[in-house]
Amino acid sequence: MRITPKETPKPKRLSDKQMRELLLSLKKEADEMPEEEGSFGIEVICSGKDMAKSNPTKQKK
Amino acid sequence: METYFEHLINTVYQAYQEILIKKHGNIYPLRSAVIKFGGFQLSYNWHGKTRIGKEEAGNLTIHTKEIHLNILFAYCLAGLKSDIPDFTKLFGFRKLINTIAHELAHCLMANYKLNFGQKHDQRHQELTQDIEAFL
Repeated sequence: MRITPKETPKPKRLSDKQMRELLLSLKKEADEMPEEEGSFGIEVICSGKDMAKSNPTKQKK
Repeated sequence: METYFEHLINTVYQAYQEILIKKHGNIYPLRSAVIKFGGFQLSYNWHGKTRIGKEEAGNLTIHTKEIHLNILFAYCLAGLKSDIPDFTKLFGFRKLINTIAHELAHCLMANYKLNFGQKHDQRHQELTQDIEAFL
């Protein structure tokens, strides 16, 4: 019996152009914002809903 | 096991950034050298979490990043059963890779501005997918 692996869509790498645009947009936005002063901390909690947004196996309808 | 995950997270963080720097130049103003793995914690409402911090001591500014993962990933990897519906789908290997990529994307965005690290926007999604494909 031949076992066929369950096919799941694999995430794709961004092209160099897309990545450059993404990094430059982050840098541009960061340069425009005032410097964060003083000591502080942020905690980012990632629920299943947040994870689903960045999961390529979940397709938007 | 925690040492292994700390090593995995940092290896991916360093290797992925090295590739980006070679291609696009060193454009990470707040780049931190290491990411601490804060360990596994039990939760029924999150998969992973990232702590981003800035500490000022005199003239010295230290940027810290720490990733935590849900201990249910470790249970699933160990082959333990659970009553949680779709346990292996929710906490299996593929989801673990996705979660590590997701948390690393927060860390990479925080290299520009610490506040960027808390975003779940389009750029974060794209970075997550790219890191996941890299993994």
